[in-house]
Amino acid sequence: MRIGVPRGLLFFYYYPLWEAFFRTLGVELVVSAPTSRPLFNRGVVLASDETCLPVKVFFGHIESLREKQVDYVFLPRMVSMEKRTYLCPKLLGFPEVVTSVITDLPPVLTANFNLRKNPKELDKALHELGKQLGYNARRIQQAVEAAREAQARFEDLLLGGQEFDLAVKGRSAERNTAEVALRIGVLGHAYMLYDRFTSLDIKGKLSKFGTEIITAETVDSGEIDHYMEQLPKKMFWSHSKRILGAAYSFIDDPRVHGLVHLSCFGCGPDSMIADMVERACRRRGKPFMVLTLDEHTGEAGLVTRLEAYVDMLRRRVEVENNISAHG
Amino acid sequence: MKITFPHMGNIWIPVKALFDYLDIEFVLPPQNSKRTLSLGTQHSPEGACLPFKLNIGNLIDAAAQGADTMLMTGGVGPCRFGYYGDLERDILADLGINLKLITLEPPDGSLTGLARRIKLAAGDKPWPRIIGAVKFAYGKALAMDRIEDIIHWARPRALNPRLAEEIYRQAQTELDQARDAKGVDRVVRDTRSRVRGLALKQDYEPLRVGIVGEIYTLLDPFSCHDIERHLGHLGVHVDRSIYISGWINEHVFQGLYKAYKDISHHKALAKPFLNHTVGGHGQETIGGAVDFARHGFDGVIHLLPLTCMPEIVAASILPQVSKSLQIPVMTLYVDEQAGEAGLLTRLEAFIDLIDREKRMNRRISDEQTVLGG
Ligand code: SF4
Ligand code: SF4
Repeated sequence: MRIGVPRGLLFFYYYPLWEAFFRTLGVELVVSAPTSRPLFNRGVVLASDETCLPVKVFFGHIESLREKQVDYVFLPRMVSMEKRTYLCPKLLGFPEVVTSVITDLPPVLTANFNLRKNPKELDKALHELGKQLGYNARRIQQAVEAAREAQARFEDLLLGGQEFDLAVKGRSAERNTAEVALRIGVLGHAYMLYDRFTSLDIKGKLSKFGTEIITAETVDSGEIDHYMEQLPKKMFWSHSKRILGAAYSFIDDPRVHGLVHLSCFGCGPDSMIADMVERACRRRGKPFMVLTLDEHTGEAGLVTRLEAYVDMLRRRVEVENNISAHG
Repeated sequence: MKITFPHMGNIWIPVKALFDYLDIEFVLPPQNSKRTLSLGTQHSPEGACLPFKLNIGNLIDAAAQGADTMLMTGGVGPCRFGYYGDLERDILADLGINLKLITLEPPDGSLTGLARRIKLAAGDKPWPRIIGAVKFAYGKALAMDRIEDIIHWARPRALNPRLAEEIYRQAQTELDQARDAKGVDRVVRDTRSRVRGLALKQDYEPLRVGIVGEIYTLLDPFSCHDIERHLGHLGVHVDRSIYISGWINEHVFQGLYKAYKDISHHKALAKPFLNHTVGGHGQETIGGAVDFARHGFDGVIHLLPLTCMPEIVAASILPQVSKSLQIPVMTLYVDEQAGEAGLLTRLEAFIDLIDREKRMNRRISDEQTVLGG
């Protein structure tokens, strides 16, 4: 049996979970190719104009699976993956949205993941998936355990600062620990940040300018929670919560010289989070830049903006060093 | 304490009644207008949804009139609405406007939590008085809903639709001024008899259009260029999937009261097309469209602010509803740039379309009766 997995949206958060689960069951996964120009363009054409960039890109991935001769397309409905939080409303309606827009897809394999009240629901959802494919409970349970383990390892690797491309395969590698002069906290949804084409490789570009990048995935959840507790109102989107908590932690961290928020046009949560982060940065005098990408964003303009920002950070650091050297 | 509440159509009437009853000073911001919107847009995040921007405009205005406390309804996700109040307070604070925020949300669904928050807004008033105020205000909401529906009926049928608007305005004023439950009932009765006195078009059977979508845009005429009035004047009978009492019942009372035109069955109706809640009213939008189709409406209009998350899900699925139940659906996005002229053209085209379909269906069924069998 072959199951198609679109390389978009939740893939960037939960692929190791799915991969280990299906592999243990003995199912072959066919993942769509990394985002490319043609795939991106197809997605933009298929999706509604008004939706956000990552959803548009996702449509391109889904469509590319049509020609891959898969028995199912995997479209889990991930409602909540953590207590008292939700994923974005758009993801909650995803299976139906996709099948309404692309009507000749292979059958959709789906289950509801709703861990909002009870973390045990994860097992339940996975069991439901396994049952739909005709496996027995014992076999499924093995797969569930493998899945949890793989996901935990993935998250640990990211926490340790491992590159996404390696971490998603469960691989670790020596990290370069040389001192860098500039460290930038880069915020954004994983499906933007780690999708090289869609994000116009912002991370790569910043590295080329000789800066070190840290992302929200490297901040541990205890710390995120610590910052979230200081908010008068609980942030209820799990991924945004991580972004916001990480932002506050970067603001407090003198080793982080500036923040870049990679946001996407048409994103509801981003519109609020980016504003909150910007306000917090302004109050604390931390440099902040928001880049809102859409399908028309040009590479050249972006490079200019990043370059100017990095130059500005560099000058600031020099001034600070001078002051501390002389003061 | 001087309390304020952002606008959303006629909701100011019951809210004002609540505070008047409790003798708490209420600051009514100027009605939504282009000025409110540009004020709000200037101080809101660019990607924020339209209702948020209007809220900000209202709150700045209210603060200028001396309000020191803002009352908001809340929610715990997954839609943005749940975070409105807190972000709004922050934005205002950065402008040097410090409003105390009272969120009327039942924290995690507990009614005692809700009661505590109502008490926060009501101050030292005794409970019976608070309950009396809530009942009185909710009575006004129900009356407002009835009045709006009477006007929905009158607009397309009146020979001179302007007279229907006059009756509407008069009803709003009178309802605002009504001092007790009897007075509230009287306004509804009077409105009904005034409409009965209107000169009507002869033998006119209007097209019927149901409006579904995001609540704020549905309830607030400014935010949707008063689409109901336009449709009415174009000779269309309008109904919408949610009324003010429905909104209050859901956001404040957790469904304990009976609302006007209850929509609790809409989720179930949506299931074949959208099998899960998507926050806000995305699922109810689908259910509402199904309901209108079943009741023989001629068309459905879906209203939503640009970037609205739950409704964009609904917008992607509505074509399926339209196809399978054979009812024309038009989607209208609103944002601060949408122009009224463009809207009118689109409405006219849509009415032409449903009118043609209706006549064609009638012809087909006539043919079948006469020639078929
Ligand atoms: S969180 Fe933002 S980017 Fe992600 S699906 Fe929702 S609206 Fe789109
Ligand atoms: S329902 Fe739509 S418009 Fe209303 S708060 Fe949510 S995203 Fe904004």
